[in-house]
Amino acid sequence: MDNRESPPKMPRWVKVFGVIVIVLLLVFVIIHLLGGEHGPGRHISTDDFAGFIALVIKGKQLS
Amino acid sequence: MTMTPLIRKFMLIVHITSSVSWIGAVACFLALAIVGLTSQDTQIVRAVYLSMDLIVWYIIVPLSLASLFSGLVQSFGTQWGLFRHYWVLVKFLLTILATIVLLLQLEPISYIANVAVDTTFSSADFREVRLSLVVHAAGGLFVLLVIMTLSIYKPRGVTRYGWRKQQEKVKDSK
Repeated sequence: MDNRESPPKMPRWVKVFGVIVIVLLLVFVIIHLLGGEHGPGRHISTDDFAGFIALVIKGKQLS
Repeated sequence: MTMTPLIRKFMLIVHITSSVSWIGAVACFLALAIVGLTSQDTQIVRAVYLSMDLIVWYIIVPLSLASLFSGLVQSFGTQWGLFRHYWVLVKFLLTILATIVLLLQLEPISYIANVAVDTTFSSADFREVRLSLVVHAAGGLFVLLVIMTLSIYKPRGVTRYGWRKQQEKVKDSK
């Protein structure tokens, strides 16, 4: 039990953790800015998407 | 709100089981994602992505939600609290992050599984999406291992809120 008069300082491991998270977030933002949007839209081309829609339609027709 | 010892132990079993199973399921998912990316055999690649879709929907998503909610019940139902100790708070934030990334990955996983059903699918198609699945699975596995490490070591450190609560308890007991 902590009986000090003033609140304890933030532990060093939390600060290190925070720095790592901030660096990773910055990397994510930089990649985001350089490479366009993140997520499936970034990886799937318009042709792929059109193919996917055609597949879905075909699947619906079969069922 | 404090749980009775019987309920607390039951919830602890649920939490540990779901959390550790989540790690195992993501490890399996990663293995499949690597095989899906590297294999030259189209039949294997197709089977892999169909399996990954099933694993993610029926195993990984339920386990992640069970882990998150049982963790919340554990924290609110015991003296640990959710905002009193840094390790609990960091663990909670990382679990939220892992769950959000997982939910965002559902779309590309289902997409590639739907494409894999098509007989014209070849092992060379959609390399970027498939590489993305490997990267996200590896990242997710790493975050889950960090969460597990925090749970075992429970590094010291009380938040301001936790410290205030401790002081209130000391005053009440006097």
